[in-house]
Amino acid sequence: MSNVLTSVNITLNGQPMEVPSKGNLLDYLKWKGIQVPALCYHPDLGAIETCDACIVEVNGELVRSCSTTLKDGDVVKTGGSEVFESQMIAMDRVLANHELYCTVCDFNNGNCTIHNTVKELQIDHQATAQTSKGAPVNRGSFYRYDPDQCILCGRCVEACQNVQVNETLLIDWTLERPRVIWDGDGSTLIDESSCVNCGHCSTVCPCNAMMEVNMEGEAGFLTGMLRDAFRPAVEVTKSVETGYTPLMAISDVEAEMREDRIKKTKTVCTYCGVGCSFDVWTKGRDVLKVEPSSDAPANQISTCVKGKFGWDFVNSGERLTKPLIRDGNEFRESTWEEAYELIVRKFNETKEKRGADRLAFISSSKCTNEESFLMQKLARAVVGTNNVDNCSRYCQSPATMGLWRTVGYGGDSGSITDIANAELIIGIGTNTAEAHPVIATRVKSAQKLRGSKVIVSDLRKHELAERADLFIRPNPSSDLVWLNAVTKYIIDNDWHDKAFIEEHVNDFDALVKGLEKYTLEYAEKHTGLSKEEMINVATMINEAESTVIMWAMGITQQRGGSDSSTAISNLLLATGNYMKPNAGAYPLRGHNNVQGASDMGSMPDRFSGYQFVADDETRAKFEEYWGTKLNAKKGQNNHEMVDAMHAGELDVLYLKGEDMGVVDSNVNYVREGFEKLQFMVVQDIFFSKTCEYADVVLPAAPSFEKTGTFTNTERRIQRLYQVMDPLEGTKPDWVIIQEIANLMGANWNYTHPSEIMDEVADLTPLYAGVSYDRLEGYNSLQWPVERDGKDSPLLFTDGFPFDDKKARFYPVDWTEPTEYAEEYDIHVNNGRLLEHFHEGNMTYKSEGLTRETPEVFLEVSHELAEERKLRDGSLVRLQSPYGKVEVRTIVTDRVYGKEVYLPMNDSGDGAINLLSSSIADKDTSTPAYKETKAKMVVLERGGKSPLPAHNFRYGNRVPQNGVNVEAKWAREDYVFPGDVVRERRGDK
Amino acid sequence: MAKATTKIRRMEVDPEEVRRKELRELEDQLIAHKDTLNNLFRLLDQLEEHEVLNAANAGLAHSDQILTRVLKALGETETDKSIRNALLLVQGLAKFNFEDIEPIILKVNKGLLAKEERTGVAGLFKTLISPEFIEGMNYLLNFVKGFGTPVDQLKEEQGIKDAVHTDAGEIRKMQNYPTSPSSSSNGIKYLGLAGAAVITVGALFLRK
Repeated sequence: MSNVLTSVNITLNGQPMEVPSKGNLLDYLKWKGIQVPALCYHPDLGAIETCDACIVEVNGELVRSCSTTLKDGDVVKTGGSEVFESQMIAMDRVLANHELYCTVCDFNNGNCTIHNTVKELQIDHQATAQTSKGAPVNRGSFYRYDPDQCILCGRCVEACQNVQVNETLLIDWTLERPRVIWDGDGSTLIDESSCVNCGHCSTVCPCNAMMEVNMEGEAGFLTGMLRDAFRPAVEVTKSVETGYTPLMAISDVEAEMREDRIKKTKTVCTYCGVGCSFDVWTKGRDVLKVEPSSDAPANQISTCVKGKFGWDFVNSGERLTKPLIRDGNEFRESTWEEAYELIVRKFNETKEKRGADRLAFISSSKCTNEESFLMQKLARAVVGTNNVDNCSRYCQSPATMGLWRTVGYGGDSGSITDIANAELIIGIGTNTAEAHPVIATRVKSAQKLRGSKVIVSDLRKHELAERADLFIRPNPSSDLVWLNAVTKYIIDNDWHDKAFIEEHVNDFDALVKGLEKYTLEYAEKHTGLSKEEMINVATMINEAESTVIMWAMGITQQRGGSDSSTAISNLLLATGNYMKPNAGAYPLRGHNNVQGASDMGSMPDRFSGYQFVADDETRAKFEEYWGTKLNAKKGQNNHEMVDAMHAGELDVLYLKGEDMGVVDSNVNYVREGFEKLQFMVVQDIFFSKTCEYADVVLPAAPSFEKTGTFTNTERRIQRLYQVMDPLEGTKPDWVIIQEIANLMGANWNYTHPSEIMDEVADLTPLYAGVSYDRLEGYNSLQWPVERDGKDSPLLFTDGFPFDDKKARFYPVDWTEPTEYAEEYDIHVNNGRLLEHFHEGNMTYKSEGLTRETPEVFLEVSHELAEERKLRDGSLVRLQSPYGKVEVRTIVTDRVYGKEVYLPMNDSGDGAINLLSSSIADKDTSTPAYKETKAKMVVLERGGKSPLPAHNFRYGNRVPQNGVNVEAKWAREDYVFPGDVVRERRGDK
Repeated sequence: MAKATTKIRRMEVDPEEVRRKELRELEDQLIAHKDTLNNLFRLLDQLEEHEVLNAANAGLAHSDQILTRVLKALGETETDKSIRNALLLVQGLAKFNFEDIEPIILKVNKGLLAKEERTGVAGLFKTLISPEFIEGMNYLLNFVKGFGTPVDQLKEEQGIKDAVHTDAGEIRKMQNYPTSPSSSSNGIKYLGLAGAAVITVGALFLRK
């Protein structure tokens, strides 16, 4: 903090003043309202130093203000002929690379940095004419690069190299006419490179050089009209123009006109739990582009390919648009009235004749907080059962359990910025670069730019593992053992944080006793890790000022998932890595609103804010507010619901936004359960696999078509605004639930989701100060939120939420992984891919994503390939005791030995859950997806590779520090504009 | 005991019912915008009578090709240069103050209308010492002196600002850099000079 407050005394344009010493001069000048041209500078990228336009005079020297930090006594002049001449030289070089045809440019939307700079400087003519760089437009599925419009500012390269850290883009400064290239290993094409299409480059491009293809011919009034006439129109415009001023004026008018038809709406991404927010640009229902910005609290300028480009599903012709009612062995389309009448009749009949607990409700992490709140309110207050759950049961409940046991709150300890600023970042069982891509960017840049250390523990050598300073590969489901061993080693060496433990944690002795058997020798035997590897981990934690541990399904989806999560928290407590910035526990929530779905009480034993149903006082509060008596009996979770279907103890299931028949484990068992239900309602945007078993299917609306809030992995609550009206025939989930509730006599009167959130705030201490007003625009709140609106970016500041404010060590023991018969010799690891989301109901609707990765594939190791004579494209059958899949193979060094990797992105013959079992975490019933084994039968040795050659996994990254501006400066034809000016004036 | 099925029987739509509904919607729109539509129909009738609608239809149907031809023709026939010159002329004209130019025009008219008089040496001498001649000569001398005034001074006196233009700064040209602004902008400079000259002439004539 001291840096922020430090100031220096300078003279600025003759006036003495005190200015902050932190930050660069350009930012300060802009803050003071002094206009200095700057084209390459971007607040999220920092000084790139390529454009030279921001030259000012400091102590008599002409310098780039973007990279100048001030010191006491500096004399700064922002005007004068030398400064101006230097800036004009820089602008000339810029304009020699960019053709100004603003009126017929799709980027002419009021935010073009070049256009605005030329206008502000009142430049009317350029000395050096723009000329072609002699390379064609480079076109990918989602964006394209026009070298002749590129000013070589390097923002895109900086973003790719230092923010996203995919390290694909670079400027080839060795070319006579430099330009941006991809990978630089021969092809240089977007489509044949390691580009993951995250879109950072097109987001930060100051002009139309790097542009989303959906913008082409769509944004401008003239751009769609001009095809063959485009070039002649540009030539004639250039011939007749007498200067840029009229051109700017006309294009400004055209840009204003665009405001009438291009709508920009802030929303929150509907894919993973990072919670990226951005503006969506739409023309009618057409999505032109997604534009994240510095204002976005979780992601700033970052997105992944799905968030930036994966929205085709919204306008897919496969969307459900009419309710469906089962009629024998087929469905028939119906009216909403008829579907509602049937639902309400069946619900009421079952409730009256067989009791409320014969009905069950499953909410969705895809839906808003308000919708999850209403779903559990429908279950509890209208139907009278606590049989309500959500899909966090499949993934995150064990992490929450581990944190509840030890630190009291089941949420990330801090924000994504804390991960980015930690000295040591540990990732266990998380393929972060593919499952939470934007968080991975922060980890990678922390390592690359700030020297943070990264430890990865995983079965598979995924991208983050490849980059890690230390990559360890324990045996499957043995994480608890090495975690306990590392904790014990730290304590044995007296490296634990005794002061922190003394002041803030109970039960240290119990922990020490519980760790007794976890010696390095024991751990070595059961984890397959070497003692040195574990000592390395312990040493790195000990040496780091701050450590964060991120974990995901590799930990939670084990029989001992809750215990392993607990072991992580024990380790963090023992080393004092709670209650301070840049430290703590980060269970990475999988879906956009998996945190919120549980926060809102769609759980069998808790109301919103994790208030216990069994607690009389709590229940009385809800009863009074809702005006009805509530059921005190704990309900069934998802897993128990399926068992109850088989046992004939559950008659009715109402499920929304969840393809449970694909994503639950042991889906053959789940589907058989569906068949045994008396009545099943599924609410979705597509006719999913689960819909096939329904009696009524209701067409819902996706996130773009509704308002509400999502809560991300950082506990950050954010508003999403309605981008477009619900597709004709569909309704937002909250509207559907309310209509069903009211037909059952509930008499709810919500006219807007904000009223639902007001009710949540009234009933839920964790959300007490949350309101739509406080969440306006890009504002956000991280729970707990006090009534006055004070939120908690750092979760634990004043102790822990227990009576004595002290955390608790919770000793845990190892649950050995599921035993399989010897014939099941292949360990089937499973998880996400970057390009697709879960079963792929949304992402396979995108032509670009499907082109990148058209189908699921099985990663096999070189050893296994050699043993079974497999190659890319071989067709194999994996058979487990529970089912079989047929899938084509990819031979890769990402997996080892007899461990294979089957992504979860298939709802047909390759669906992973045809193999997985119903064995679950002993504490939360979360399926042990990661304890799946199978035997392999080779069906066809040849065959076409399931992964196209243009997939980014076959690219070759070219790491370098940013845009490598030094290479530009070293070119023979480059002289710093300030030096040109000084030479002209004979100063040198 | 619901078995999985993907078979969906679409709702039978009565085309007549749909038609009736759509017609009703259209009818509502027509009534709501009756006056506007009457005006629009009158306009359309007139456009039709003048073949405008047929021409517009044809033009729009082939707009890209037509536009390409027109734009290429503009370039090939140097029409684009004519347009540019016209625009420059318009910009130049903006610098005139026509109210102040009126006396100049009157004086030129007077000169043109003056009767041609033949005279001898004595007559010439008489003319030379006449107040009109002396005043006229002073006028013309000032005019000539005005031409001799540095352009920068004139711009400053008359508040004329140059258009901002960038400055070439490539290394390969560094050896040839003059200390004054780049030679590559000569065209623009000449243009500026021409404009300044026009203004100067105008200013001289402004003296009454």
